[in-house]
Amino acid sequence: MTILALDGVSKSFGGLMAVQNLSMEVEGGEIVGLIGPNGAGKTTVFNLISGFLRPDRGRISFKGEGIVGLPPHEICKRGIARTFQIVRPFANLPVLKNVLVGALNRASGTREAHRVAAESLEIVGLWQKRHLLARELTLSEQRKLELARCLATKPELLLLDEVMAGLNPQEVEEMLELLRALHTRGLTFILIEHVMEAIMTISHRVVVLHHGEKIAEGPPAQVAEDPKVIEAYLLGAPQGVG
Amino acid sequence: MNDVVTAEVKFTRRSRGMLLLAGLALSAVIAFPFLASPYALRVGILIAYYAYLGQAWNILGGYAGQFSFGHAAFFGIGAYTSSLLFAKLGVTPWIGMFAGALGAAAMGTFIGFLCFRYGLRGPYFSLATLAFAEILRVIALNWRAVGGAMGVLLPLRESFWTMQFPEGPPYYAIIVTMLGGIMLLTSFLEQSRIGTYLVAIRESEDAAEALGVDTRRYKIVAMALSSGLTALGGTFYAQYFSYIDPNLAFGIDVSVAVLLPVIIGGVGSLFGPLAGSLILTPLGEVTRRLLGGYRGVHLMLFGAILVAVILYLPHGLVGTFQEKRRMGRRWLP
Repeated sequence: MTILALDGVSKSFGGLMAVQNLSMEVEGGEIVGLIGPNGAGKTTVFNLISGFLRPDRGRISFKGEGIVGLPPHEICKRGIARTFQIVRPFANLPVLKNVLVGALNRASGTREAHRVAAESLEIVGLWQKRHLLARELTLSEQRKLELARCLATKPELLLLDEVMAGLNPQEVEEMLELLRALHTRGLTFILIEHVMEAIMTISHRVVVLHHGEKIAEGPPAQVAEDPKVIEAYLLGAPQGVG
Repeated sequence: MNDVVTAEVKFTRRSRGMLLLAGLALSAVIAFPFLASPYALRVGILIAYYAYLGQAWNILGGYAGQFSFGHAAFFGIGAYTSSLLFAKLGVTPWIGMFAGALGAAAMGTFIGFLCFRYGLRGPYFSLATLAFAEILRVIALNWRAVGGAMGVLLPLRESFWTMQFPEGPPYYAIIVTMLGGIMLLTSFLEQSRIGTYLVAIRESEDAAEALGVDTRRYKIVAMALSSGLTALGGTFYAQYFSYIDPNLAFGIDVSVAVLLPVIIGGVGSLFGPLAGSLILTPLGEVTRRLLGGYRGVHLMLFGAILVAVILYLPHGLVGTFQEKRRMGRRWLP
C-alpha cells in the first residue's frame, strides 16, 4: 500500500530551483534512503512533506489524502513525524518533558502521555537520563532524544534528517540497530543520510537527488553503480562554497 | 533495595521539611497584618501586588517565552473598566474586575492574533505590544468620556461592596489571596498540557510545531490568560489608590514594573516573581525614604541590580538556586 506519494512537486527560492518536478512513492513498511550531494534539495523535500514549506507546484498525499497547505502540527497529527538536521531539543527542559510534548500529540491526558513518553525513552535507551536537561546530553543522545520525541507522537511515517551525522562508528551501529527494531514494529522511514555505508545497508530503496531533480532510484546496490550517480558525486558536487 | 528505602526515607524527610516550611510561611503571611505597622503592611501589600503582576506576565513572558513589553495595555484596561463602571454606573468593582479581565483577555487575544498571524517573534513582538499600550494610553489621554488627562477619581464610599476600606488589612487579604490563586494556577499549569506546550514553544517553536503543537493557538491562549490576570491587578491598583490616569494605567512604567521582579527573581519559574518582588519592593521603599528628595533614584538602583543580575545570575535568583541544587543531585538516580 502506498503511504506517501509526491507528484510533480517543485519548490524554488528566488531563482534557485531547490526541488524540480519530483515524483516518488513510499510503500507502507518501507525504508527509503534519500541521498545526493550537498545542496541537492533533500532537506527541502522533508520541509515540503512536513508542511514547513509549501510547494509551488505538485501534490503530496499521505494515505490517499492531500496534505499540501496543512500546517506542520496538523501533518504530525495525521501521522508524519520528522527530526531536524540540526538537532532542536527543548534545551532547558528535562529529557522526560521533551518527550512528553510529543506524547501529548495523541494522549488524551497527561497520565497517559507520561506512560507513552516513558515507553519511547525506554525504546531509545534514554530512560536513565530522563531527569537531565536536554542540553546536558551528548550529540548522539540528543539525536536519540529527537527520535524518542517523534516516536511519542505515534507516527506511521518517520522522516529522519541525518540522524547519524556526527556519530562515531559504534553509535552509528546502535542507531541502525534501533531503526531496524522500530521497522519491525511496522514503522515506515525516509532517511536522509551522508553516512553512505549506513544508508546502503539499511535502505530497501534509494532515491538520488541532484540539483533538486531525481536522477536515480532503485535498490542500493543498483543505484551505487549508476553512472549518473557516480558522476553527480564525483564531478557534480559544487566546489568551494557549498 | 536498601538504596530505594533510604531514598524514600530521605524523600519523606525532605517533603516533611518542605511541609513544615510551607506551614510556617503561611502562618507568617496570615499573622503579618495583625503584627505589622501600617507602613510595613503597605510594603507587604506592594510586595504581594508586584509578585502577582509579575506572575501574570510570567505566564506569557516566562513560560511561553513571548516577551511582552506592553502589559500596561491590559493593566490599564482592567483599571479603567472597573473604575469607570464604578464611578459612572455604580457597578461594584467585584464585578467590574472580571469585566475588565474579560476585556483585557479579548484585547490580548486580538493583539496575539495579529502579532502571531504575521509571525512577529522576539523583539518584534515586544515592540508591537509596546505600541499597543502606547496607542491605548494616547486614546485614554484624549478621550473626554474616560476622563482624559484628568483620569478617574473613584468616589469614596468605604464598604466591602465598593471594595474600599479605611485600613490596610482587607487590601492585604485581597492581594494575598490573588497572589495565592495565581501561584496555584501557575503550578497547576506547569503540570498541564497547556503549560507543557508553552515551555516547548519557548524552547523551540519549530520543534514544537513538528511535534503536533498548534503553536499559534497556544501562544494566543497564553496571551489571553496573561492579559486577563494582569487586568485583575489593574483593578486592585485602582481600588487601593482610588485614582488612575492614562500614565498610571497605560504608561511604560507599568510595563517595566510588571516584568522587573520576574527577571530578577527568575523567568519561567513558579517562585521567581515572588522572590524578585520580595527584594525589589522593600529596596525601592528604602531608597525612596532615604533619598526621597531625588525622584527616580530607586529606578537607577533597579537598573544597576538588573544589569548585575543579567550578568551574574542569568537565570534569576530562583533559577540559579534550582540550577545549583540540580547540579548537586545530578549523579544520583
